[in-house]
Amino acid sequence: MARTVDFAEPHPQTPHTTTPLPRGIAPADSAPWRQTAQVEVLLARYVSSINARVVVERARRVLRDPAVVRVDEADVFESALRNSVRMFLPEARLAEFVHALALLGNAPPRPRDLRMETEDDLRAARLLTREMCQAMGAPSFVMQRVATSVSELGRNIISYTPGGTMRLEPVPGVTPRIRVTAEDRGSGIPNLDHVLSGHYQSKTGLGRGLLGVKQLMASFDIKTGPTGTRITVEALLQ
Amino acid sequence: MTTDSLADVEIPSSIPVIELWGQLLVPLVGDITDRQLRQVVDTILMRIRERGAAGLVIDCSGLWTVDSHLCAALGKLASAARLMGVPSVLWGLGPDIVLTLQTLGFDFAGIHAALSLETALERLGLRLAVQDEEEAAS
Repeated sequence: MARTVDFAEPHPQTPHTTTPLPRGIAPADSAPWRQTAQVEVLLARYVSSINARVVVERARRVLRDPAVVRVDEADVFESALRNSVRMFLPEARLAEFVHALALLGNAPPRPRDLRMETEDDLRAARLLTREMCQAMGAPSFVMQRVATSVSELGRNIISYTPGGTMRLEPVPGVTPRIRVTAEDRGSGIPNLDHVLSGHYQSKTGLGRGLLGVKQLMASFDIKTGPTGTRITVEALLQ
Repeated sequence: MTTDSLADVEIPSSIPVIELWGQLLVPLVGDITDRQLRQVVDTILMRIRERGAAGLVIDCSGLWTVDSHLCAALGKLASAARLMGVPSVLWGLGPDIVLTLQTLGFDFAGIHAALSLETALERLGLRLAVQDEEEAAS
C-alpha cells in the first residue's frame, strides 16, 4: 500500500447522542441491518482486504455495537465508510460499492429462462442481463462482459440454429457469480477445436464470437453434438 | 421449462439521422436491434445519394453495450459511406465497452474515432467561428 492513511477522524461524532435517522424510518427502529463483517467481505471486492479491514474498522466506531449496523445507524455508517473508501476508490467505483452495499443480504434475483428464436428474444436477453447484473450489484465492466457474451451466444442460436433457450442465473457464494447457459437444437459445431484455436476465420463471424465469449468470461464449458449444443459460461462479480 | 414473458419489452422506434451543417449525425442510444440497424444504414446511404453529405458522425455515447454484430455493422456502414465518398468519424464509446471490444478482437482499424462530438466534427472539416457581437450588429 503506497498511500498513507490519515487516521484522524474526519467527522468526530459521539454515536450515542445524536445519530441522524435514515429517511422514513421510525426512531424506535433499531433492528439489525448489516453485520460489519459482511460489509468488510463486500468491500474486499473493491479494495485490498487489508484496506477493507482498515476502512471498516474506522467506520464502525460510529456504531453502538461494532459488530452490527442497526437500521437507524445505516446513514451515519455509510457516510463514515464513504469518507474512508474515497481514498482508495475512484468516484464511479465508489458509487458501485454503495449500490452493492444497499443490496447486501438481499435475496439474489431469481433465475430467468428465455426462449431464443428471434431478434426480439435476443434484445430481451440483453436487457434482462443488465437488470440481473444491477440487482446483484455487479460493477459495470462485469455487466458489459456478461451482456456482450449473452448477445454473442444468443446471436449464434438465432442465426445458425432452429432455435433454443438461454438461462441467466445468479450463483451466490463467497465469490458470487452469474451463470449463463445457452442451449440450442442445431446440428452442432463440427470443427469446434479449430474454432476455439483462434485460427478460424469465418465469413459470418461465428468463430470470433465464440472465442470472444471464452475470453470474456471466467469459465467456459461447451458440449456439442449432432442434436444440439450447450454452452455454460460464468462471470465473477468483481 | 417455462419461459419469461417478453410482453414488457417495448417495441423500439427508428434511429434518427440528423443533418448538421452538411454533416450527418447518427445518435445510437440504448439497445440497438438488428432491425433498427438495417433501417438506419439504409436511411443514411439513401440520404447520401439524394442530398450528399460532407461527413458522417456515428455517436455511440448512448450505447450501453455492444457485440461483434453491432461492431461489424458499424464497420460496414463506415466503409459503405466511404465508397460513396463520405468519411466517417465515431465517438463516445465508454471504457468498459472499448475493453470488451478489444477482448473480442475488434480494433476498428478502418474507422476514425474522436474524443468528443466537437472533435468529431472538426475532423470532418468543420471550424467553429464565434462572431463578435459588434461585428454582428454592424
